[in-house]
Amino acid sequence: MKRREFFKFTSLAAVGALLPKAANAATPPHVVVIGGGFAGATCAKYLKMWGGHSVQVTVVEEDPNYISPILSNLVLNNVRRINDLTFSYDDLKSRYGISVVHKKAVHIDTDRKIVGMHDGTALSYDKLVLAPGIDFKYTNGYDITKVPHAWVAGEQTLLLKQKIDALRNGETFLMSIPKSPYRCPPGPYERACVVADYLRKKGVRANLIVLDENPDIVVEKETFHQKFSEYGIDYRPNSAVTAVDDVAMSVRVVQNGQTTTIRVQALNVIPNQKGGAAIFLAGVNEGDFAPVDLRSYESLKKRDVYIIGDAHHSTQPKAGHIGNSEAKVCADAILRSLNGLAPMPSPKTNSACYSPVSSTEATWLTAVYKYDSANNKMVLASSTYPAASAPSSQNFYEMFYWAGNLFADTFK
Amino acid sequence: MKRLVMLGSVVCSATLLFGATAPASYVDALKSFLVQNSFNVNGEFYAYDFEKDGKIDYNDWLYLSLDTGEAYRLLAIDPSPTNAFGFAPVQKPQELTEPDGYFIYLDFGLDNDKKFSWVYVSHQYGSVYKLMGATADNHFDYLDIDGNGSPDPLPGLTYTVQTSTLPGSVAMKVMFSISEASGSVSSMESSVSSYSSFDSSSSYSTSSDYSSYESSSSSYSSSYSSEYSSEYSSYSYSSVSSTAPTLTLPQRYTPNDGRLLAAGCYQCHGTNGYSTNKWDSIAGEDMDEFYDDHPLMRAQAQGYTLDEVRKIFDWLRTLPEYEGGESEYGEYDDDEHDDD
Repeated sequence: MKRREFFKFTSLAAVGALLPKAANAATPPHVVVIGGGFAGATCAKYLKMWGGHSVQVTVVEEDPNYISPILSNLVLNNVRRINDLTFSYDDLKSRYGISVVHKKAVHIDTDRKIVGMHDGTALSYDKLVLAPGIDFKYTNGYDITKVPHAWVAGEQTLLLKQKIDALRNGETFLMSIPKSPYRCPPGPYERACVVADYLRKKGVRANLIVLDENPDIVVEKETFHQKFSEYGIDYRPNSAVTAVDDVAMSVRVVQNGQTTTIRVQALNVIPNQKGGAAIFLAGVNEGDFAPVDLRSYESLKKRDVYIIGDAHHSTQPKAGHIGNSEAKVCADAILRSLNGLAPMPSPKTNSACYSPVSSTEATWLTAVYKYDSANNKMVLASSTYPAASAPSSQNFYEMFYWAGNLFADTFK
Repeated sequence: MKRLVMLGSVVCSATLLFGATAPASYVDALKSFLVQNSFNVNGEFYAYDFEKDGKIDYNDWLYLSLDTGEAYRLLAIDPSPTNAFGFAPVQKPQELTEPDGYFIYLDFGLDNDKKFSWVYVSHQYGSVYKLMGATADNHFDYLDIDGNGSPDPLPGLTYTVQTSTLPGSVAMKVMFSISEASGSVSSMESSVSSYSSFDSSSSYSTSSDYSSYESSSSSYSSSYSSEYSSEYSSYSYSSVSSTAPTLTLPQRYTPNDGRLLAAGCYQCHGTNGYSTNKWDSIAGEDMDEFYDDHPLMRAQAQGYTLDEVRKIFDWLRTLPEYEGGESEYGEYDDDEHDDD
């Protein structure tokens, strides 16, 4: 038996040189991710966490920081500040070695595999991930600083808060809910509840009208109908906003074929939605969203282009939590593809969302999706959409645990 | 100038050993750092009798690169600034079996001189030695906990090596964990004699010191009651993030279905199963954790097949349990937290 233990060295100039370096490796493949939200940031992070030094990742994101729409309705009632929901890309850069380029992609050439930026620079890619989120289909050219949608968080959220804070007794606040599919199915109903509760607690007796282009509340029907009736919210289904007047503060509404004009003191029109600009630049859209192979999120129209999050077309809801989940499936499929392997044949994604309905209570909704290979669809893995039995204060503080880990899993 | 001294547990005499002492807080912090991270291993060390003279000399050490599969002999040539250990390539011997150990670079925050921020993981003894520096005459100093002049293994620390193989390549990860108070020391039968002055029941026994080092997590728990005061403003995301473990990026991708499925848990339970808040961490946990009483978790559980759950936990069990962030909110309780 050999006698040995640890050893000591002489002439130690630089321990960093201990391990011989591998021979010059070829430049690793480059993945460019357009969009640094829940889907894009997660995809970049997991590409590096799992692919490590075998892959280079660049995120192209216009904004210096990300402001989460998740929890942003709680800015309206002073439970959160925008700062609490603002995330930098520093950890993606320093911990994972991801390049983050704060530029706007204005041109995508999927044949030459090049992304052109607003400043004339360009990036070439081996794989391109599009995670641009949503864009809006405005009814007409009105001023969104006067009629904010607040469906992208930040400045818009604060503008809406100003409108709500300015409401006086007897005045009316009107919000409109877009036609499905739109980002965050429970979000508009949650907002109506949070605002109603906030005004009530402030002692402002204002009226609340909710116009919904959908035939009924889209998710958690019983809970939201119950809360709407408690708050005295005037809920009008099948009501499409067809024009907005930002001077008169009025909307033209078509409900069941009948057109009316409603004039109020504060307007929050959430327009109908489509995928972000990048899917149109890349020519991977079919209508408003981009169809993909749901095992990998690779475009059905262009090779080596992947679309995750709100801009892709599927049965999955458009929301941050599931955008994060899709991003991991996509990152793994890209890494497998770069290693000559097929994606995992039966991926799973999941959705979970806590929704506040006041400054002290919240509800939740969750789902698991499985891949249906016969139809290339993600279908519910269990028979129903489970939801909280009723709003509660316990759900309210759990909401911050959920969001805290989701934020960290995306940006840290 | 070419000089490298091998220390065998039987032949070593105390006068040949060099040790550097460090405060107990350093040892605790180091162990905490090791436990909270996993480390990639790029190569293995073998004691190898190059001369076939029946003894392991100072330069009878072979380094096998996992990246390239190439073998190098230690101190085969004079060290230089670019080749500090005098490595030279050699033909890979056929008879290599189990490696003797690994050197792992740490980049540990409390090491002032990062050049020496390494541990040697001794495969033979299942022990971990911390490199601390070099003496004026260029000998290495290893951590000497009891101050008797000879190096000591980090007490109460064990490790596991996880190897994943792809065609043509190997990826290896070392993960450290805290063992029962004296378990790892007493199990090192042949080495115990050389550390006879080390008292495993002294202040270095791990549990109490370790938890006191985790001041960041304990302050977090104590702020719990005020955190959800009526203003909800004291919750600070950035203060939580400081407990997130750092990580080492792998050299290459290794497919793993369980890892991908498990990643679907991380939105709620934190990246790699390390929660940043009072929701429970799931790293290192067993399958029964999946069937939780929390109604949301119950709903999620319905969406996964038993085979998928097994794959998820086969992966999660490879991740070291997060000692610092143990949840006090692991169990769902309807009666708890009603704040009316």
